[in-house]
Amino acid sequence: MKVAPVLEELQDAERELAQHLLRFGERHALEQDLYHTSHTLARQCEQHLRALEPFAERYSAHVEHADTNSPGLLERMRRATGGALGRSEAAGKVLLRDLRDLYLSIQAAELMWVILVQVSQAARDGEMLQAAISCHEAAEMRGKWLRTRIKESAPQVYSA
Amino acid sequence: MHLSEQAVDPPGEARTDMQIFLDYARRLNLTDKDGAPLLKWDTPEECFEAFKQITRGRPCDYTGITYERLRGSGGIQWPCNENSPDGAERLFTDHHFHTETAYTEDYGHDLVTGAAFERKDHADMNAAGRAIFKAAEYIEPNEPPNDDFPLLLTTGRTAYHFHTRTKTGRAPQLEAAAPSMWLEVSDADAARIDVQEGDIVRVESARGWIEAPARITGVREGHVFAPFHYGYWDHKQAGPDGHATAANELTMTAWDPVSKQPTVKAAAVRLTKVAPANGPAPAPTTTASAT
Repeated sequence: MKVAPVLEELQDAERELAQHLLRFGERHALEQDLYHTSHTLARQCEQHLRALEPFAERYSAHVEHADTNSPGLLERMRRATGGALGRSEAAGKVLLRDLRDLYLSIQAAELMWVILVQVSQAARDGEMLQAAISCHEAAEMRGKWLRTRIKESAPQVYSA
Repeated sequence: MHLSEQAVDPPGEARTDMQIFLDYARRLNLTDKDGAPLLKWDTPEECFEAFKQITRGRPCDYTGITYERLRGSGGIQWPCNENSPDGAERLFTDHHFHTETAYTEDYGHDLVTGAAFERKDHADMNAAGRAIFKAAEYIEPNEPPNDDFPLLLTTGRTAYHFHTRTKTGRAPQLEAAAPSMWLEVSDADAARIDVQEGDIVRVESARGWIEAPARITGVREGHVFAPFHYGYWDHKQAGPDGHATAANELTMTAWDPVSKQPTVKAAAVRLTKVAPANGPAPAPTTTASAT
């Protein structure tokens, strides 16, 4: 079984998603619910990365420790984004585009969990299967959250 | 359900909210599918009669309730219809819940993100009359304590007041029981800045500050408690006059993802001593504020 590359790709996907969430949350900080939920979900990505650590060791996958919640990373993000967007008609369109863009990162990570569920079954690793199923549930919820938020924003942006 | 009838007429040229609402609807020319005015009623009682029809056959069926019956009772609990003509004190006594996908009024939400479940999510659960039990894991506060603001403020109530005291502040006994702002601090945190019972302290977050006498009490170390009842309306002003007491001004803008209720609940704060005591803090000596 070549489990290591799956774990590595999954870690990349969760790490990239965490950074995407933080960048997105800072950029749309005026939408307070997006700011807070993005940060909550970025912390969840970190929990997912921690949940993967024992399996990365078991299958000799490369582990890059990334504490997505560290002030260092948050600070870097703030500087990189150079402040939040204001409120304007254009900001609504930008928000919707950014929400769609974030949805792709969320789906990319979710699919990697689907793959890990299948690989865990093939490898007959019950422990990894359990972790994968539980994380996949959370990963699916992120997508539902964003669909809900896109449904809320779309009519406001396009009926103005 | 209770009936709260109009107590006084609006002063001067003011109109009731209901009159404004009706005027607004009529100016929008809202009509039903036959082209008749959408709102066919004028008085609150007529509005209630129309509203009753919307509830017919639904979980909160009001069709058996009238103004007449409400006036002669201490309130009626819905559902009140042919099946339970005097209302129902307890719901779900047959252990059957309104969770059939075709009957439910809401497919539910994820408690952490507020994600709205869709019909297919609800149907997949196949609750079919059984109750749905939801859980959410612990989530850190939006603003955990940090180096600049090392304590965690929580806001809350005393038994004597409701919200910002617009009603309870006018009841002399209640007002006397909890007349003005105080802050609750633990022994250890008070000792650290040399604060004794009743000393005036300032609690400051990234968004603002309040000052009030400290009650040294059994609140958990690292935490400060502030009642949120004490704003400025009874001082006939919209903001503080150098003595800020409105605890909600310290909290950040955040709301519950499902109900959208503003949380105004927690903030990272720092505590400093401002002035010596004039006596003990005016905190009640009963209920949650008792040591």
